Amino acid sequence: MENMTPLYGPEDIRALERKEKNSRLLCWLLGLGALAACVLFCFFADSGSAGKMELACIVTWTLAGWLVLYLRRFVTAETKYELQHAQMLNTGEAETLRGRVTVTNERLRIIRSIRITIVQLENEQGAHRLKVCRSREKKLKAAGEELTLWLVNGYIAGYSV
Amino acid sequence: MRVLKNIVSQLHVYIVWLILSAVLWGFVFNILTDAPAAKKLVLFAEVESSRDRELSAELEEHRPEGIRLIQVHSFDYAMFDEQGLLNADFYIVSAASAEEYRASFRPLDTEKFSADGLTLLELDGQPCGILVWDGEKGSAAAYLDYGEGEYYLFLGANSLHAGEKDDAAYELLREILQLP
Repeated sequence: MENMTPLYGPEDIRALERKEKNSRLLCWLLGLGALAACVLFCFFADSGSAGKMELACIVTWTLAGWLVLYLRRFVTAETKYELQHAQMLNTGEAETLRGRVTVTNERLRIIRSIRITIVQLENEQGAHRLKVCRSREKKLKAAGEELTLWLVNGYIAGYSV
Repeated sequence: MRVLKNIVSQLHVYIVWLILSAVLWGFVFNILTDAPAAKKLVLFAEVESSRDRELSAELEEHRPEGIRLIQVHSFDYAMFDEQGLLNADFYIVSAASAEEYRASFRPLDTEKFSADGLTLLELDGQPCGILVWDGEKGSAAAYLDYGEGEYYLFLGANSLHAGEKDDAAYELLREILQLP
């Protein structure tokens, strides 16, 4: 493992942790901000403006809710899945395979987990279908074609040239 | 493109959220903008439809001292606020229904407003209602869609504002009678 370049280094893990924390914080800020705005709308409402203010509350709350739902589902949750995946790769038992590596266009999504890309490795023993987290696809492509891959549970954890 | 795809994949969630927001803020808005009974006057009208908020806004321009809020509802609203209906300060009711709701009205104190030129409805020998719609013309017709027949304005039996110390209801009654 000495020469291995991990797909998730300590800096990558810290970046993922920051991203998850920040998106969670943003969700809270959006929720609290929307609530504060709605309470203000109620506070400034009188009978003449009640209809408009009530509509403003509904629109504000709905839009903020949509944003929070989007962030939680497609940013916070996916970052969390990727973080768990990275931790699994860095702590799991690895095996190695050397051969010619091709990143395919075959992309899959695992429900409640990461998005993956299928990687083909060919050597004397034949062709192997391996998986890499989609966000690490570019890093693997940039490494070249003839590689030794470190694998944990069929997922690529790192490589060496 | 990916954002759009993500949104479409969760469209049902966004639609449910929109419906929940509308229902939630329908209730919460009314709770947060409400005032205690001592600081509000409530009118319930037995009409098919009403421009509640416009009429409230118009009456609030002439609100008596100490009153923060004036609410107007049609009788249909009672399904959300039965207690509100029972404790209302004013009722506008058709002549045909007056007897049915008799227990909810209080006799008018004719010393607190000028009854000159007004047609009063007597129940149990006491003046209780003031004619506000004679079938063709009357008060607040710009805001209330009266049905057929005559309509009368009554003071609520449980009103906190129609007594000796607090006669804000009589003050507003005069304003209601002057409305176009």
